[in-house]
Amino acid sequence: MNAFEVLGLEARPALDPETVKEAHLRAMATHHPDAAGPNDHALLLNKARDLLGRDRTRLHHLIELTRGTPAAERGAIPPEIGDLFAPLADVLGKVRGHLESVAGAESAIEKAGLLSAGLELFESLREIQGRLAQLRGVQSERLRELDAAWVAGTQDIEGLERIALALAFLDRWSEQVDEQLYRLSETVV
Amino acid sequence: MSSETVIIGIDLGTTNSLVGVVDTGFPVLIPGADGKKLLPSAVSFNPEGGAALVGAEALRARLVQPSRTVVSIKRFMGRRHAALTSAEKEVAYSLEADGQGMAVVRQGSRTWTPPEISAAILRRLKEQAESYLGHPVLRAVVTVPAYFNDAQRQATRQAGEHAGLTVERIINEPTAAALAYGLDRARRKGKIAVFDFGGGTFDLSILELTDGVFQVLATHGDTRLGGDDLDSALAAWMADELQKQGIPCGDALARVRLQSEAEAAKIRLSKEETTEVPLPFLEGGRSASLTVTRAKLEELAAPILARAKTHCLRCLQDAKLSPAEIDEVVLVGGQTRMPRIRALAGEIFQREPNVSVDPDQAVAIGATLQAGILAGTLQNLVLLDVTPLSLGIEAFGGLMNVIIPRNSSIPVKAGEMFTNAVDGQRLMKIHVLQGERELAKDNFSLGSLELPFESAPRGQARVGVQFEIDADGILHVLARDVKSGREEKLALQSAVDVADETVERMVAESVEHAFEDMAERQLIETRMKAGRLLKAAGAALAAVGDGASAEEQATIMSAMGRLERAVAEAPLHELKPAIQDLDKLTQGLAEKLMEKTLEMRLKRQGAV
Repeated sequence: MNAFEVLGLEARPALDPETVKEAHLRAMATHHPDAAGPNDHALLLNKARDLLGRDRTRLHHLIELTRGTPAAERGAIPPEIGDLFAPLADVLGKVRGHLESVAGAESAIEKAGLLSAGLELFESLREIQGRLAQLRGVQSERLRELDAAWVAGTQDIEGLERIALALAFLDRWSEQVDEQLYRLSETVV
Repeated sequence: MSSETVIIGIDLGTTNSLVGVVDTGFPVLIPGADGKKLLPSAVSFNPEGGAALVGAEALRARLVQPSRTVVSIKRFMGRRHAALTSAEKEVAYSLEADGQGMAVVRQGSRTWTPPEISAAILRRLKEQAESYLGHPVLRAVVTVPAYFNDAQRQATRQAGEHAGLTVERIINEPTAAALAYGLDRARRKGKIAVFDFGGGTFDLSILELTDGVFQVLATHGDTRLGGDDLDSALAAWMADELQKQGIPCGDALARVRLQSEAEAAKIRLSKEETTEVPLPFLEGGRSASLTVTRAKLEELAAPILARAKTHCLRCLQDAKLSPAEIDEVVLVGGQTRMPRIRALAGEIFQREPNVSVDPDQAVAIGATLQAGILAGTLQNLVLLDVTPLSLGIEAFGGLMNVIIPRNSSIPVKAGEMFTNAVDGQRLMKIHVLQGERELAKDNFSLGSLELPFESAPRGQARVGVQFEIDADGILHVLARDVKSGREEKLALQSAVDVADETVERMVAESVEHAFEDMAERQLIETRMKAGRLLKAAGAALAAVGDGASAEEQATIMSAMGRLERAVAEAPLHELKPAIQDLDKLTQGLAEKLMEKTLEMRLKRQGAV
């Protein structure tokens, strides 16, 4: 499947998520089983939207289409984001321990005693969330450069692959941080 | 329109059900012979075990023959008897397991499946529609709570078949409600939160509207949280109060009466601050009267509302939205008439909820609109739904391996490749699961299939497992050995085909473990609890310092001394009260500590 063709979009590294969403909704309005009867096209449209809607999966798809082989999914943590790994693992570990203590606390006084540590961890996580966003910004910047070069005729597949790998780590870390922030917010508010 | 082309929309609710049809371009809800649109979801049986009465008549019969009247049957649709909690089994009629372990209702000499009982309700709704339209009706759209799993959806489809209806589409209730609210604004762009608090289920869904396309972004809820729980909480409180006056209310008839009086009182308290509940002719012919205040009801409701709030926050998290990004909050379900619940929805989403559609009718109107779309009488509206629960298979080590994550747009197809873990393995067992827990055993089991494949060294076999969810939200599973091309499908009727002994064994084992060395373990655990409490109290006293009066400090310290001595020498039955004492005495200190913590945090943030 070529997801770009399915949604009628130009095959390039950078796409605005809103553009992808609109193309998907437009196509769905005519191809959804409710409108067109049973068909597999709606399946394809959903799949194409999922692939193109996020930078990482779009890059993987584009690399495979262009080069014929899939992009590397695993590898060492790219140096430009490596510095965040140690503090991230540290805070996530502490949050996990804290949440266990909160779950075990039965009396009001125990819960009150844990509040201070919870608020501190909440702030640490928010700070890491900010740094993740910043690192993602750097990758987006790089992606826009390579996108401009692509449109001008230079296809830097290896460069795109490096971005995809960095984004794979950032995506996974963001998910973990968001999840723990959510759980923590349940205990401190 | 004719019998072949017309499709009716049905809201098959826990407490009430409704039916509608699109007539000359507009959704119309069809009343029954009594002129009422709401048909109570109740079925009453005659002494021979045959279904006799449906709806309001059945509810009236319930007051004199509670054990022969079935209400809230929706809670048991597609559920295994062994998986029901003891609270769920607390109904006036008798539940048992059938040959496959599914929950069924016994009436006289025969048993009735929940789909059969629901069919009696559907048949009545079908008749209402037929007398309105003047010709037979064969097709329907039926709504289910978003949180219904595959087995529960299958059971709903079966109920339709028993009633002589082809179920053309099963749609999620909150999605249907959004359709009802979105009718006049279909051209507008915006994000809507649908807050659906019904009799038996709670759902929160977030939808995005764009030029006639409804896209569900996320949905989250609980099939075991609803207005019935409020009635039960109030009835339990009333029973306690009566007990204090020396009036027992243990028998089935008294329980049913209390439950129905509690429900009526709850409804009155949405308009009044205080209400009297007269209870004439209770056990032994005694009469009583209780006063219930709105504040008391709200106090009893607090833990139930807290659960609803958690689901709302989780749903926002899944949709990756903050409350401020929601353009509109709409209320669905009769329970949202309760002022405290309206306020809760307002607090969570930081805006006044929209109540422009009757909360009891929104789902039915939406089902009717969807029926109109499918029948071709309405156009330019498309509903893009999501799957509310993650689907996956059991992976090595008993973990849940998610193949389709929750809130994926449907229809959706996804697959993964698996290989053999040992040399010469000839068979792969694929256990299909639905749910959000990390461990396979904590999730809902939809069934399993076995795929034989050609013998190969470890890691050499290739088995592809493919999951496809159709537009009804129903799962189709396919497993294929890549080398031989051999395929196995998980047949739909086996969706609940896990051996019952397995479930019962799991339940039994957990009970056995619980009783093992119970006395010994309780003492150790209670001592640990005391230790944690003492440590927390000591730390709090130090942190709050002068914030607590000398008298309070002294009281707490002497309670700490008593608990310390109890830990060292007292038996369990003396240790427990000492813990409770200290817990109670430190409530005020806990509040002071929380205030102080927050205050210090604000100060520090201000200083930075």
